Amino acid sequence: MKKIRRRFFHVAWALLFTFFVGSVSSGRYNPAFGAENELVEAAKKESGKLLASIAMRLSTAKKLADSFRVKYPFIKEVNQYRADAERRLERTLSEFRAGRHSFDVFQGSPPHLAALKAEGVLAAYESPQAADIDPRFKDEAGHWFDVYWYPVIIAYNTNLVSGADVPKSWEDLLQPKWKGKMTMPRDQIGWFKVMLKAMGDEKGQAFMKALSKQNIRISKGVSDGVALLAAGEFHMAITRAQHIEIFKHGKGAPVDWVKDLNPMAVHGSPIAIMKHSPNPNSARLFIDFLLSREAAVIVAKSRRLPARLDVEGLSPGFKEMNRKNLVRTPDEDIFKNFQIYRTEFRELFGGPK
Amino acid sequence: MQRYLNSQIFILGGCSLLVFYLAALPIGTLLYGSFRSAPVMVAGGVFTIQNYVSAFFDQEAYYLAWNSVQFALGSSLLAFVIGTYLAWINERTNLPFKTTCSLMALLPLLIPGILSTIGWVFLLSPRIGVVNLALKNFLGLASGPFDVFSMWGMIWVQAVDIYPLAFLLMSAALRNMDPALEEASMAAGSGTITTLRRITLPIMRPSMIGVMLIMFVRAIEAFEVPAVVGIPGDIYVFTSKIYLATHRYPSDHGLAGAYAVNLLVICVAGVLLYQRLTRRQEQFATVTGKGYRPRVVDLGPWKYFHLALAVVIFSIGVVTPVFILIWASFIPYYGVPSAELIGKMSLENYMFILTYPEATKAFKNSFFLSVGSATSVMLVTSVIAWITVKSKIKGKGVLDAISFVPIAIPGIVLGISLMWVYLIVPIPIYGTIWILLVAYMTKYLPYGVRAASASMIQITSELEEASHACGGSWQQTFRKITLPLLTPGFLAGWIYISILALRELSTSILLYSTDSIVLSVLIFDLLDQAQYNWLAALGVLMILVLMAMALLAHKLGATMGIAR
Repeated sequence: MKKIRRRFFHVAWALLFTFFVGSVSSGRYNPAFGAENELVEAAKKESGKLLASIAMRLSTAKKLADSFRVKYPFIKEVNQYRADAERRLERTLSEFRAGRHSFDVFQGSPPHLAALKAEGVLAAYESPQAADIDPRFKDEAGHWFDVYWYPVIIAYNTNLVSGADVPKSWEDLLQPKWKGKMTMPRDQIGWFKVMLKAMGDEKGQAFMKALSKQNIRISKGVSDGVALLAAGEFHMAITRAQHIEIFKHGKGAPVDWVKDLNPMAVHGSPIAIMKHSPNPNSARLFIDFLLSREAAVIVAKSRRLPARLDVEGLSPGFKEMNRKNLVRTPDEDIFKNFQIYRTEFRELFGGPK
Repeated sequence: MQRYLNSQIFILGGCSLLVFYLAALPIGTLLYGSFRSAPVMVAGGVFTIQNYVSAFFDQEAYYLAWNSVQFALGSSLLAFVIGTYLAWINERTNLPFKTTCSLMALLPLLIPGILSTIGWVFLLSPRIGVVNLALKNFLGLASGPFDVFSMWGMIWVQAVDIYPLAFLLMSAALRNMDPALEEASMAAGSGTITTLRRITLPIMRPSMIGVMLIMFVRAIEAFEVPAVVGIPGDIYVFTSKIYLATHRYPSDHGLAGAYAVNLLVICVAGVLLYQRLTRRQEQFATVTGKGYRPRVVDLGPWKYFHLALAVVIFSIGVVTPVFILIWASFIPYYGVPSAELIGKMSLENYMFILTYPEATKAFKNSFFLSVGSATSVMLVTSVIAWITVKSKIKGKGVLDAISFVPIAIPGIVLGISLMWVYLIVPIPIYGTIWILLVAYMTKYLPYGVRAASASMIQITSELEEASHACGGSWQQTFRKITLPLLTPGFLAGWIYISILALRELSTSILLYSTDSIVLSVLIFDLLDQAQYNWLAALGVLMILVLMAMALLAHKLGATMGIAR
């Protein structure tokens, strides 16, 4: 009987404790919950449409947009503009300068977001979801948040490279047998800077110089380089891990990547609200949704690494990844010196081909 | 009578204003913008010739001009040779299966340039091109022999894209040639070769040069090949540079404007020269009312050789690029046909495209623009044609001339001009589908005028006079007499324009927004993201739609041979 009573107390304590913790943690959300209601009411008064300029794959974007509309049925349309990053940036800036504002949110590379921020195109927003985002993946001033992140790695075509040939370090790329057989997207400045810093400036410069002599073909974007890697046009690629995961596990293509490199430059993929968004409240709801756990699960299922602390990457390759040497790209510095760094990079590796 | 005159003047005025608005306003804005120090939509610019200084005194400008000329000359000559050969065997020899052959020569007109260009990339890319790989393995070479990302690659792809136009124009020229002189030469004892050299070629020379000029203009204003093959190959021409100057960050609208004006001048000069040459051709009076049938060369057993050659040209020019697109549309990632990939074939790309909202939107928009521009152009141009052909109103020559101007405006130049117009003019159509409709109307105005006046000339004025005599007003006569009589020509023009509008890329790429995206732009965007398989599925669906339209046209008895 005593035992039962003790057990009862244990359970009661446990329940009480959970309740307490629950109320404390949900206490943090209570105001946000009220705020969300307000936001929803305000968003209902808007056009019911949302226009997003995005960088992610169409299939992922569509899944996110569909779930968002299910959650907020009064949003009738989420239109997504997906094109070459520079084209989107140029278009957004041209329209902003001409006083035409069609976009609600913009997702792009960190330097592009920094350029938009500097021109005053972006609005700051304190998302209630921000607390659960890895601090490395959001702007302190609230101008942008990363939806997901990715390391820059060495990828290879498994039909062409296998066994002992698979590189184990960045230095392995300098072997003469890889000359003319590698590709890399244009302007990999974040990777470039992280590598230089990790290797030490002198050694890093020597490495880059030797690498540039390997005749790496510069691709226009990430996807086209990976598509050519899968098709066998290249043996290896310096590229993003997520694309290789999508090609390997999503499409069954003969590609894989090296999961333990020192360093692995980590990029974020930030999204921000436009200052003159025609539907600012719907845009805020959309950002909240993209940063939510629900969206992070969709992101993870699409073989990306969510920026949320409580959702892990699901694709098999990420589980094998050595996380010890992940280094976030120095975005502020890159934006400030973008032209200089880009010239440096292009002098070594050339522009898009 | 007074009322009748008034309405005539009102209509002439209205048409002139509309045509002026469509054709002259963009060119004016382009010229203005090219002399501004800041983009036209930004306040604070001043007048400057700096854009032209940097366009003319920069080494890059000469490199661009040289590339453009090489590209246009090479592809127009090659297209001319292919087109003329096909026209000759079709019009002047006893080739079997002539109808099928002319259909084969015209079919490439239906394949959007962006799709055939992508098809050629899949075929001739240095390492994954199917043709390259086949040859590499067959001949035991270290690498594939072809590189599509080169000047020769660009010339080849462009030539294959435009040879049907050379075929059409040269067929017409050969058909209209009076064979009497040739017969006289033969009668005087000259052989076939001598006759060809001393009679046929000199007679044909003006129209041949004219056709080459038009091909040159078509090639130098082309956008698809320079963008898809030229940019990755690091070979830039005017059109791709204008596109990049407005779409890369930071952009340079002034420089784009200056290059656009350069390109415009080249094209206008080409078109004017063409018109002069074809006018002179009329002076030779080879096209007469005399009934004659051109002399037919008996090819003997060689006719089968020429038939086979025509089939080979068709297979290389159309079948292979389309086949490779079909292949790509069924596989999960691009690769050369292999047992491994054949096992992975599925309809997944089609499923994605059919459920993808942007694609549905693009289909709707393209359909709307195609039908909308064809209808409005044909309505406007039948009035214009009535004025220029039938009426005796003063100043009708000017109307005819202005309505023909857009033929010389390259698509990309029209795009940048209209973008500027509607960024500064307070007509709120920028970023909507209406700016595209305006653009398409401008672009296809000359085609409509051609089609409408061609059929207008064939209608005698007796019926209209009878209507007037019975008390019909001008509008009543036009609606009840002229328009119904025009219907066959009207329909032919309508279908031709709607097909052209569905393929349009170079203007739309500068003017579209997410709401007004069209099929060709969506394909271009998908290419940008390297989504080769989705774009292949979309492309195959698009070709099916175009084929259905052409088939419908055929059923309706319209011919496709009214280009220009």
